[in-house]
Amino acid sequence: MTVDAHQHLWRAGDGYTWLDEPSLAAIRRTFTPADLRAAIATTDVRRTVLVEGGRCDPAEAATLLDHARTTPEIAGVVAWADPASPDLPAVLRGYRALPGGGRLVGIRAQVQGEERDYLDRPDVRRGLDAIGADGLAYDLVVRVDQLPSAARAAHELPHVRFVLDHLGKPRIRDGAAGFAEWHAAVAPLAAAPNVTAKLSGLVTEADPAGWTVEDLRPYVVAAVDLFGPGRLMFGSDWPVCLLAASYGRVRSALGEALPELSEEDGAAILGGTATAVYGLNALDATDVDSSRRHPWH
Amino acid sequence: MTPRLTRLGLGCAQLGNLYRAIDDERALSTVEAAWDAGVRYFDTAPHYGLGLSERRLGRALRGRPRGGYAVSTKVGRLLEPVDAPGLRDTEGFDVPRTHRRVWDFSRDGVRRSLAESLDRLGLDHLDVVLLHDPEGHADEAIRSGYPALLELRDEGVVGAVGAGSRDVPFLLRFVNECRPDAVLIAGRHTLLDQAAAADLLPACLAAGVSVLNGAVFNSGLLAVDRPHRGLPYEYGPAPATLVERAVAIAEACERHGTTLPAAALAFAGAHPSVAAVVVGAESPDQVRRNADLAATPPPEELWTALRAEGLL
Repeated sequence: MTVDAHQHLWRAGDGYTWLDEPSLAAIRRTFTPADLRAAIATTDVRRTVLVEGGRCDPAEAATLLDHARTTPEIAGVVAWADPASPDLPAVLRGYRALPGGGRLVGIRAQVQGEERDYLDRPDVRRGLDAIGADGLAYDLVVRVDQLPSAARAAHELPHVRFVLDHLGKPRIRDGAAGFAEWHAAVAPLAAAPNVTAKLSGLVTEADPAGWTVEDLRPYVVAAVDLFGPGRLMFGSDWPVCLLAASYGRVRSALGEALPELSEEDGAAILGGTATAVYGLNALDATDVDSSRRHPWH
Repeated sequence: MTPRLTRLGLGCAQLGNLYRAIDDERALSTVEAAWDAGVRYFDTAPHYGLGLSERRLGRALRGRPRGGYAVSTKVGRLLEPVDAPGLRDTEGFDVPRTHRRVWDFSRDGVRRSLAESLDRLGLDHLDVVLLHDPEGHADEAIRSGYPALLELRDEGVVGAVGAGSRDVPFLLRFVNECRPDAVLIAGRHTLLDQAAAADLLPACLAAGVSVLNGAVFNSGLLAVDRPHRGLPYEYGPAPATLVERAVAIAEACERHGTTLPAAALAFAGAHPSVAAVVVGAESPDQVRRNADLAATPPPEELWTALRAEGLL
């Protein structure tokens, strides 16, 4: 079953001020669960993960979790929370107590708007530690120059499941120089086994008006090489992707950009990794005794 | 929070004196043996011994950290007290007839049933709650029983919701219409009965519905190394043709250095839709044996041989 690990919903005028930028006029409107269902219905995608949309306000979580409660296709929510907040444990408890709180699977903050070494700050590290201890994943939305600090955090917090959004936002428009810079910075992060990554958001890092599959391919191939299919997941970044392509085109472009993979590896990228990392199935079963070999799985 | 189960669960119908009475001490030590073997998932129901299974399980789990194990129970049969001195239960459990079972999948019935189960178990929330054998009341179960479970899930009283049954067509309809968290399939994905394999398990996999596979020994015929006539199958004596097939499978197991129950357990858990296999036991020895079997899977060649012989 194909899972889209990265979608957003927002209401125009609800505090998403970043949408005021003139180049974003095409997506400066309300997107509802009905729009989401209509978009994925054109493809093989059956379940999705909703990710916070840059509103940076705890009230957004209530809206997103309620969408998850009433929309069967929404299997999980990555909500916004400030990792540096001393109230973080209470905030997470509050989220879980909301209607639909059982669908909370991860936390994300707008690290890309912070200083370069933000993820090295002790107060931020404490928050990441608490998020991991709570069983939640932590989505990293970072600039390329922040990837080294993300790698340090991942290596020093091995029990936290980090998910790198949009492959770390490579500057695809910068050609070979952009690729080299990104590849050198992402490799140490990919070396940490507790990090997975989303093949998402690439069409808008390329030239939104003139991108081709050939622009994406080197990044997709390198990601498969660095992370392996078991640590990669498809995400569309819809509706942001609409700046560059239709939902269906984003889905099909990934298929064209991926190298040839076994059925099992393809299934991991298209759903298995997201299901495992975010715990999207309603029941989570573990072996009775991990020291013994087990007959199933 | 996502309920966390172990892949091997203890089926607790026997704690309700299924077929024969066991005393409290043996019931307690059976749960204890399961715990010691690493089992952290327990499945019960009001139906099992008219509440006796839930009471005994609750007692056995008392004092253990609540976050460290998962319990599923079921709704759909309310227990109404009756005055029937000297009479015994007539639905397979060796207990006095203190109650009668009343089918009820209404919202109020579901809520009352769950409240009574929590009371008997001594718990304040359940990890999984399933509509129990709802096929005879399919429309009511889907129209009012299932929404009542969703409401309880929203309230945080229940972690995950679904249905448990032997009826494959009902479960398929239920999965397609409701996309529940889980279904418990009883005796329909086993070495002798693969009715769930064609449509139901693929539908569960596609919809992300976790399968709990129960009655994987088909009530007894697959539980022994050398099956014979007179063993129970689906709560009755096993038909001769099935005994013959079980014997043939057991012989193949022996040739491959394994046993029929080990193969039955491995087969039951092998489909990727299956989250956990629920196995009943009526003694600490049975629990330990099942845990050992689950930890010692048959060689891959067994499945090839069974397929070649037309036994699978």
